[in-house]
Amino acid sequence: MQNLLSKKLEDNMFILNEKFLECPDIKRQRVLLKDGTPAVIIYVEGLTSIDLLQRDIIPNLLRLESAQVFDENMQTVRLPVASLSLLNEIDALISDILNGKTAVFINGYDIAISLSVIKVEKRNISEPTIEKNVKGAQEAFVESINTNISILRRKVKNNRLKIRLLTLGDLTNQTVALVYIEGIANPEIVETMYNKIVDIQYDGIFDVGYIEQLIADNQITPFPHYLYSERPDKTVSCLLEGKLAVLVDGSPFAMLAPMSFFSAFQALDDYSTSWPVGSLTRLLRMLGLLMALFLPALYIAIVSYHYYMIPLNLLIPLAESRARVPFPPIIEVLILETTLEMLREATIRLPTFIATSLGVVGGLIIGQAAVDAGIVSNIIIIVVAVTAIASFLIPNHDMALTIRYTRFIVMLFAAIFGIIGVVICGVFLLSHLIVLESMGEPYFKPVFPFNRNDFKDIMLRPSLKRLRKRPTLAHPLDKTRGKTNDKQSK
Amino acid sequence: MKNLRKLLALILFCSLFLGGCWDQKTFEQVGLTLSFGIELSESGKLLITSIYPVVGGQQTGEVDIISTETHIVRGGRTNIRLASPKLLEGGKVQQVLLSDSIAKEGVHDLLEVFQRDVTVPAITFVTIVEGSPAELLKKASEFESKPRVSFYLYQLLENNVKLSNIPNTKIFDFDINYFSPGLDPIVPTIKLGKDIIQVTGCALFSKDKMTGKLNVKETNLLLGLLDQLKYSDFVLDDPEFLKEHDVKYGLAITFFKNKRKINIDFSEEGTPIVEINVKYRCSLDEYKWDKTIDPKVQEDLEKKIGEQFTRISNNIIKKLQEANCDPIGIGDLIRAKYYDYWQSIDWKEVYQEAEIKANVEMEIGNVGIIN
Amino acid sequence: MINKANEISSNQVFIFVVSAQVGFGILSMASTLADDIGHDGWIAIAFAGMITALLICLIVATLKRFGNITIIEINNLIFGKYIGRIFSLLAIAYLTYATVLMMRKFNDIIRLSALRLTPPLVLTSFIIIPIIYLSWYGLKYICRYSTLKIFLIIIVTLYYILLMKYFRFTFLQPIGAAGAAKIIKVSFSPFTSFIGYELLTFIYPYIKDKKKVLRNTLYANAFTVVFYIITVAMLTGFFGEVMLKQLLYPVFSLARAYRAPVVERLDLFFISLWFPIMISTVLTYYFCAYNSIKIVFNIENNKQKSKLLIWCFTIAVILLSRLPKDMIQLNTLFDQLGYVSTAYVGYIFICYLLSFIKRGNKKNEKSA
Repeated sequence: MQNLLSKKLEDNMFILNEKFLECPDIKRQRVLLKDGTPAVIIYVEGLTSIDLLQRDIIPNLLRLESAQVFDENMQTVRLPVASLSLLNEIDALISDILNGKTAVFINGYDIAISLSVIKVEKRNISEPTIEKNVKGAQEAFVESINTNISILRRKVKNNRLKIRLLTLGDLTNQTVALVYIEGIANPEIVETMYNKIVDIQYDGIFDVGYIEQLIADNQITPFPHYLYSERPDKTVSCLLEGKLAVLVDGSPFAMLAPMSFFSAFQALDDYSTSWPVGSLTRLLRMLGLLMALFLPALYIAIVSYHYYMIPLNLLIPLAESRARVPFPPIIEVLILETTLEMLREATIRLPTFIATSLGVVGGLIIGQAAVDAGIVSNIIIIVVAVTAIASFLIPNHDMALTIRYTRFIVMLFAAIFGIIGVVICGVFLLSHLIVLESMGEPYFKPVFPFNRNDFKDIMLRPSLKRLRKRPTLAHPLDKTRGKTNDKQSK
Repeated sequence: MKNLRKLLALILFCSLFLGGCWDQKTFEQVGLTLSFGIELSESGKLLITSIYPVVGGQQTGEVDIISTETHIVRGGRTNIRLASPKLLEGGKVQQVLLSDSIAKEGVHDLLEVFQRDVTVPAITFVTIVEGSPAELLKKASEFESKPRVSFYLYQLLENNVKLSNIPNTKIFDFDINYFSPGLDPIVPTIKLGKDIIQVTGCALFSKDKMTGKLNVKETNLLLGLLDQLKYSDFVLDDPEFLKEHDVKYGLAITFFKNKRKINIDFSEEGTPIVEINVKYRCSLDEYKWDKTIDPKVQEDLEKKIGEQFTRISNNIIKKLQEANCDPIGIGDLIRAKYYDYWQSIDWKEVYQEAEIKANVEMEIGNVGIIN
Repeated sequence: MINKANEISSNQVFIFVVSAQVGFGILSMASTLADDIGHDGWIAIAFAGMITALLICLIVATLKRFGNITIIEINNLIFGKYIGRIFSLLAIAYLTYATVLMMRKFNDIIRLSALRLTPPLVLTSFIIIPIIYLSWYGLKYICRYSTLKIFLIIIVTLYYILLMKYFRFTFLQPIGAAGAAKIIKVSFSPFTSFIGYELLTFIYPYIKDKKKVLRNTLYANAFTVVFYIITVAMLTGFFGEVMLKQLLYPVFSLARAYRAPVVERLDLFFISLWFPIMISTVLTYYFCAYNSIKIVFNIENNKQKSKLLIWCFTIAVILLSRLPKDMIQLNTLFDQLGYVSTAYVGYIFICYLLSFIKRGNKKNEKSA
């Protein structure tokens, strides 16, 4: 199959017609130039701005003679377009056309013009829905990758913001952008990531989550390998730490790599408020993590094994509420926790107005009625509710999900071995987190292995002046923030 | 093959989960013994009384009391389990109540089970009951205006420990003091009153046998000598004191953390001469309308109180020597400082002849908001 | 040749040695010492620490002499392929013996303190899960995990502070009452509680920066000594020597003595704290044994065979750990472990001496 254009328009059209068989949305419009040379304009209906095409391109084209269209060196065309390219390969042309460009073929030339008069129907930039912040920008990425890149460019007005474009999806041909800041991001990591993405063989990528799963280092793990964000400001802050961002056309999320376990517990709000408040929020979140993981398990362990750990004054109220329940604690907890997880999953898929009333039904009615009916005890409702609240504290959606499901394993072990089971689980979980790596970087980094500089930004959030050094997770080339740092710190 | 292995693992885990939970003692099925009474029965065996709160019974606020005769403490639990609807466990025992008659015969082996069995707490209060613990528990559980008896006892003891009215003696304190040469345990005493339980001071032990008693006021000052006093209320109303110092109704003070110093010397015959200097700070709580802010009056008061305290303290020491009980740890100090001497004597004999003197100094810190 | 997952920095040597040392010996050491020399146990420990430091110097000197190889290859070098292999198998047997005993003791402690009725086989197989997991991934991760232990040891020390008010300094006095000769004599017994440093002979080639090995190992030993001294002094000052003699695991008895607000008892909390500490001790021995077997049979890079090996080894450890009949036998075996490890150190000393004889050969082999 020949790949280059021929000089004869009819030959070219024959090939293209064959390729675009049964594609009624791809319009093939014949026109005649001033000297009567036939030409064909091909575009995808809906992706191209017909207004612009009719107003600027076609009249100008019709006014030209075929010899006048190109300049002497065949470098450019006399058409009023902001972006165009001249191509002579059929495959490249097809891919351009499918990306929304308009191609013009002129008889007698083995070169075609690819014009960019794109008009894409897209969502406006809207508020973030998953990662809401109190302060900070209220904008989120959208599905169109061009818009997303433009948002990033608007935030980083510097030519060191580099974007590498690739095409992924053997069938869908989506654009993927690898964004990083030159001079900060470690080229080694950039190359690794680039090669990993290039190697992906998959028919369609519908979300950045697909990319993560296809390139993850360790396949058997519930923990997310990379951070996701729908927030451009968070993305930029990660870029400044030397991380990479991966954008996929069609997904309103950026994938940030490498990540550490603890970066899932940092939110931008921590940094925009004063440091004591930010630190307390951080601590609260860490407490939330521990509670979300271990609280129901501890309840099971204590109530079914270590009765003597119950505070003296709680002995009798607890016993009274437990006395009516026919199930062992593990079953009791499982009933409620499963119901809660179902409720949570249900509210995601339901329309907002039903979800609200479902929350009321689930929260109030089931809880109270279950106690009255003697299926569960009062205390367990509190435990489960507190655990749920604690798990909602985790800013990262994927991490929160993982923690929520890991909790069940801890609970099962607690039911078999009591508190020893909880400890076994804790140790195993820790071992797992230690073994995990994200882009070859230790997942649990600032703690194990210990790094003093990074560690201070984990449990607490020191003042920005003390955070002059970038985190070492991504091995940034430029280790300090700001130009005059070296002098100031000395 | 691989699926088979996974299936096997799954079956193993499920069977574990179903057949597992070997040690499970679900909380509501356990009868938590909260207080534990030990005394001698008429037939010369041990009479063990165990008390645990009833949950889910017909009446709320009830406790169940079961007494049983046995030869050994653990036998009590074994016997009681035969009669109790719940699995009786001692993991939450708050007090061990020993009758004073059994305390006179030696209690150390009775407390052994609390150290041997890890499920039973070593931080249980050891308490001597004047009279019968079984009776005290039974009567006290019928008090209408008081919380369940174990909670009542718990709060009573905790508060009085804070006030330094009784020593803070847990099982392990008792054991440490029992085992250490040159140290003896002291144990709080309580007794049954009408519709109340009353704290009466402390019992003195010579090793594990009870040999004497002190009342609450003396206990206050003994704890001062032990350097364990935090603060305490004290009313000076002894008739001698009133007469001697021309005080009409008495004097109430709160005294605080002390400074204690022990000097050890030896007489020519080789008996130790011990001098214990104690310094208290106090605030005047109740006295009479007078110029108490005046330095002269204060000095006079300080002297009066100091003298009285010195007298009581010396009395206490006499009682200690009579009981051959050395909770202050003078023997321990001698062992630490004069090891050669210590090895040449039998401290229990020397102690009773030793010359021990207390000297109390008092300093008034504030007098309230009247002149 | 060396697997990257096994490579550790010289700072991690510190963590490794501490984690191999602290774990089981300390639990009952104070009472054994009280039995022997009363309240002067802590002095004996200081002496034992010094002896250990000397032995560490010896071991590191031996290893330096041979360069970048483990004891397995040293054996081959000195005794030839066949006799060397027998010695290597003996060394592995020693490691397995230690692993098995520790695993059994671990199991016993948990059964004693929390789970009385749980079948020991089930319990052991669950405890061993994190150990297998980390051993499979390599030394680097073991050292990362063991960092936790340093934190936990510090927390344990903080726990002592809670009980400081019951501490009687007079219980430690008069210092040195037992007499210097006796103390020095007895100090050879706690010295077995310091075992763990000899594992250096198995991991030496994996250390990246070998200059600081000696220094960091000595630091680790000093850390252990300080922790042991604090613990023994605390226990003696808390219980008094006479009572200390009566206790089997005085560290746990100490944990039972604090009355916490609200929850009252903290002993369970203490067990949970000690659990990861014990895990990492077993872990170090387990890994060394497993890894040495891999080297002896030359299957370091064969994933399939390694997998088979780790399962077989695990099952062997679990089953062997059931062999000791009861606590008394276990304790006797544990005492013997001390002698065996001393013998092992002696063996390394012999290797050191032999290295002078074999010097010429070694050079030849290196050039070849």
